[in-house]
Amino acid sequence: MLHTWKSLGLRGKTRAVELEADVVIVGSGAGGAPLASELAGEGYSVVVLEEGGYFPTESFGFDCRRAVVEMYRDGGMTFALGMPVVLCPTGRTIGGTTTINQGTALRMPRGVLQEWRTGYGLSEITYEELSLYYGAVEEFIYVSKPDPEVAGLNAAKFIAGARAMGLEAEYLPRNAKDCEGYGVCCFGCPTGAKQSTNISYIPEALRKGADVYADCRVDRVLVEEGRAAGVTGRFVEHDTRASGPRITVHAEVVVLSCGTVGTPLVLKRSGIADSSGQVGRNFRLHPVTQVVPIFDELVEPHRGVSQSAWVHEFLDQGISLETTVLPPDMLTMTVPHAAREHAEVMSQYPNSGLVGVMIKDSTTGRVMPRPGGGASLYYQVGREDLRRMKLGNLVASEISFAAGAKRVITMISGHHELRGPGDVARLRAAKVKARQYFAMSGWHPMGTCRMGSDPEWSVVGHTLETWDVPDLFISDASVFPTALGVNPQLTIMALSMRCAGFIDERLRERGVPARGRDDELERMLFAERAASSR
Amino acid sequence: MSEYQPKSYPWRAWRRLAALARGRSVPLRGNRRALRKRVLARSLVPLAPALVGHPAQAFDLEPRVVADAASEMIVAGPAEAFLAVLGSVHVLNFLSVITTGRRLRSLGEPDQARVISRASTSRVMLLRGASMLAGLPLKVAYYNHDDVCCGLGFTRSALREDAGRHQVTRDR
Repeated sequence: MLHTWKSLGLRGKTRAVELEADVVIVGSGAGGAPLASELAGEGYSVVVLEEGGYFPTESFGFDCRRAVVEMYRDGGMTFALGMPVVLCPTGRTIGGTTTINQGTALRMPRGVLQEWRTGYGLSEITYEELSLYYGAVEEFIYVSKPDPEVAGLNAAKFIAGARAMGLEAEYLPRNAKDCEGYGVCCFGCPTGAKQSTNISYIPEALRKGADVYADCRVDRVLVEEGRAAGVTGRFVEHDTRASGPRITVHAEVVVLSCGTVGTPLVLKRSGIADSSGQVGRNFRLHPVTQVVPIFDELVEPHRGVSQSAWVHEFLDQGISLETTVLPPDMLTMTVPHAAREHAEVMSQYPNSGLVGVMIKDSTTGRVMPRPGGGASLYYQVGREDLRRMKLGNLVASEISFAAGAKRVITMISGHHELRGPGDVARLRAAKVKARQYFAMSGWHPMGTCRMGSDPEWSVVGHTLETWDVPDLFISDASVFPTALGVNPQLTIMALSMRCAGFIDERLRERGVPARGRDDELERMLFAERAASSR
Repeated sequence: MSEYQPKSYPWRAWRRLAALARGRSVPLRGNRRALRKRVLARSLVPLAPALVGHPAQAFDLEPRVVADAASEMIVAGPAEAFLAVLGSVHVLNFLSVITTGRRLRSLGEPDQARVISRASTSRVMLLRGASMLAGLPLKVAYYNHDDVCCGLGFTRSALREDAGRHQVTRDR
C-alpha cells in the first residue's frame, strides 16, 4: 500500500512509527523501484521510503513552473559550484528522477563497461549478463523508438540536417507506450505514456505486496553489531516540507537508492561505509548546453516527443547530440539574450527548435553535507570537456544550418547568435573559456559511492554491497565508477535487477522465509540464456 | 540549572545556530519564507518589464504578478538561490549608479533596458551573470503565464483537455 503521514492518521511530531521488514529500500527511482518489485515478487516483505510526495498522472497539467517547484529537489535549483555554475536538476517524488526525465532509454556503451572491467576491476560484470537484465527491463517499460509522426518537426529537421551533412542520425529509444508527443516529459507525463517507475515498477511492487511510504525523509542508517539493521527518519509535510513524526524501519537488508546526491549524504550523516574516504567524491555529470535554431517555417517546439532524435557518431569522443522540445517558460532559460533582444528571440518561439549537446565528462567533483541540511556540490568543468563542448556546439549549429535554420542561438558569450557559416567559422577558430558559458546544466549525476574491486578506493563491490557494512547495499547511479556518456536510467535499472539477485541470495542464506516466489523473471532469463547459448 | 528556557529571539537564534553547527536540518518557518518572497518581489517589480524585455505583441502583464510568481519560485529553492538573485539585482543597481548616476529602479524602462543589455554583453562575468540571474526567474514566470503561452501557440487548457482524452494504461 502507499502510505503518507496523513493516511496513517498521525498528528504532531511526538508519535513515532516503528516497522519491521525483510528489506527496506530508500528511494523509489530507477535504482529502488525495480529492486522493490523484484524482491516483493520473491515474497519478501519490502518497505520503500521516498522523500518526495506522490503525484498521480491527473495532477500533471502542463504547468512546468509548478512541476519544477513541487517535484524537483530544491525547487529545481540544485547547483554545483564551479566555473561556470552547473545546474543539476534531480527529482524528488515517487518515481524519483524517472518521473521527470525525458524518457530516453539507452544501453551502456560497450566501451564504458570495458573501462569499468579493466580500470576498476569489475570483471564479474559482463555485457552478456547485463544484456539479459537490459532485455527484461526494456520489455517491462516498453522501450521502443517513437513514431516519426509523433516525434515532431524539431526531430525531423534535425535528422534531415544531420543526414545532409553525412552524419548518422536516428530516433532515440524511449520508455513510452502509445506516446502522443505532448513534449512535457520533464514535468510529469500527462497521459501516463512514459513508463517512469511511478507508473511501472512501483505499482507492480505494490501489487506484489510492498509498502511504499511517500514524504518520508531518511536521516541515517541503523547499524547493530557491525551490520545494517534498518533506517530512521522523519515524515515531512507534503507542501511545506516541515518535519513530522519519526519513522524507524528495522530490516535484514538495507538498500540506499537516494541518488548520487542523496546517498552519500545519508552515509555521511550515519558516519558509516567511508573507510576508503571515497563517499561523496568522484562526482560525475553529463554537462549539457543547448543550441536553439530558428527557422523561417513553423516548428512548434512544444509538439512532439521530448527527446526523440540523436546523433551518436561522436559517442567515442564523449559527445552526444539529442533533440529536445520544451514549452516557452523552459525554453526561455536557453536564450541568453537580455531585455528586448530576449523578447525578440522568444517571439520566434513557434519557429524554434532545440538541440542539446551532452558531454561524457572527464573530471570529478564532490558532494558534501551542508550545515543545516541539504548538500553542497562542487564541480569544475575540465579543459578537455570544454573543448568537446565547443565541438558539440559547432556540430549542432552546422546541423541546424544544414536543416535550414536562419540563425542559431548558443549559450556561448561572444558567439551567442550565429547567423551563418561565417559565424560558425569564427566560433571554430575561437578559444572558448569556461566563463564564456552563460549557463550549463549537468544531467545524470553519478559516481559518489563508486563501485570497484578494492575497499581501499571504492565504496561498494560488484554486488553493490558496501565493503564496510554488511547487509547495506547501494543501488543507484552513485555506484558508477565513470560517467556513461548516455542517459543512465536503463543501466541503473539493469544493475538494480542484478543486485536483487544478490540480496535474494543473502536473505535465503539467513533463512528469511519468503511468502511465495514469483519465478517469471527467472524463467525469462533462463529462456534468454538458453537462446543466446544456441 | 533552571529548566526555564526563554522564548526570546536571541534564544531562538542561538538554538538555530547550535542546530546548524550539529549539521541538523533547520527548516525555514513559514513567515521567514514569506518575508524572503516579499523582499525579493519588491526588488524585482520595478525591473520586471526591462528584464523580461516587455514584448509589445504579447499580453502586457502587471509587473507585480510576474515578480510575485518569480519570487515564489526562488524561495522554494535553497537560500543561496535567493541570495544570488537578490545580489544580482544589487550588482545591476551598482552598475546603473556608476554609468548613469541613478539607481536602476529609478530609471525609465528604455534606460533600464540599456543598462541591462550592457551588463549582458559585458566581458566581466559578474555583470553577465547578474543580468542572467536577475532576469531568469522573471522570464520563466512571464512565459509561464497562460496569456503569454497562448500567444506563442502553447495553449495549456487545450493541451490538458486533449491529454485527458489520450490516457494510457499499461495493459498489453
